[in-house]
Amino acid sequence: MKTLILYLLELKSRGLISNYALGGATALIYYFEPFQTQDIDVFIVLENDSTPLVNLAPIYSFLTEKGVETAGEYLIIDGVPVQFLVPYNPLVEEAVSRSIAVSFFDVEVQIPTIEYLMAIMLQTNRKKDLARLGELFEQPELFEMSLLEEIVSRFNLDERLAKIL
Amino acid sequence: MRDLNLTKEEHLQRVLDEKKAMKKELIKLPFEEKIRRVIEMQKVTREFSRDKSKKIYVWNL
Repeated sequence: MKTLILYLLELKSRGLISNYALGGATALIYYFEPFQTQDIDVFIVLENDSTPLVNLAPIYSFLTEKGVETAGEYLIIDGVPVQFLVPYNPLVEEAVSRSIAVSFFDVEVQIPTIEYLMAIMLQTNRKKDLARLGELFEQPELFEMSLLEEIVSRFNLDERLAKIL
Repeated sequence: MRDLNLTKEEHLQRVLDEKKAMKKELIKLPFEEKIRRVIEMQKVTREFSRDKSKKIYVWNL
């Protein structure tokens, strides 16, 4: 996993991406108890973000030069299946732009705050996300309810939150 | 000394309390240690998966 983080830092320093954040289960595990997961989702903001076309070719080219191989929808980076995703809506864009740096051994990696992760889980509305949200609400010391409510309200997810509470 | 003379309800409550306490301890672990635990779970899943055709990834830390 550290290799992935080092590649992300290099992609950023080379100007191939302007920002990134780990997403999904891996980001949530930073805040929560460890649980089984198979892949790592990484949100990447491309340097030229203003065009509607998403061109991941320079990133794939950089990674294949490093010996990274693909398997189905994954890039296998040092044994870790990784999916690169471009932030696909305003909530995810904001979550990435306000992500925080956390330590992983001797490097820092960007992850969204727990309140944004919870809002994204509400938005995706999958059964497994809702189940995980239920567990998170049993640990209220892990997040700021007022922050979550503020995000949820701006992205019109109030009804979904109310259903869970 | 652990009290072994409990009612079923007391026993269940103790198990639930212990699980809750364990969860809180796991939450406090450093990120790299949590990822190490995830990798351990992946190893167990690969070892005991009945569907041997399904690829189970075990990450490198």
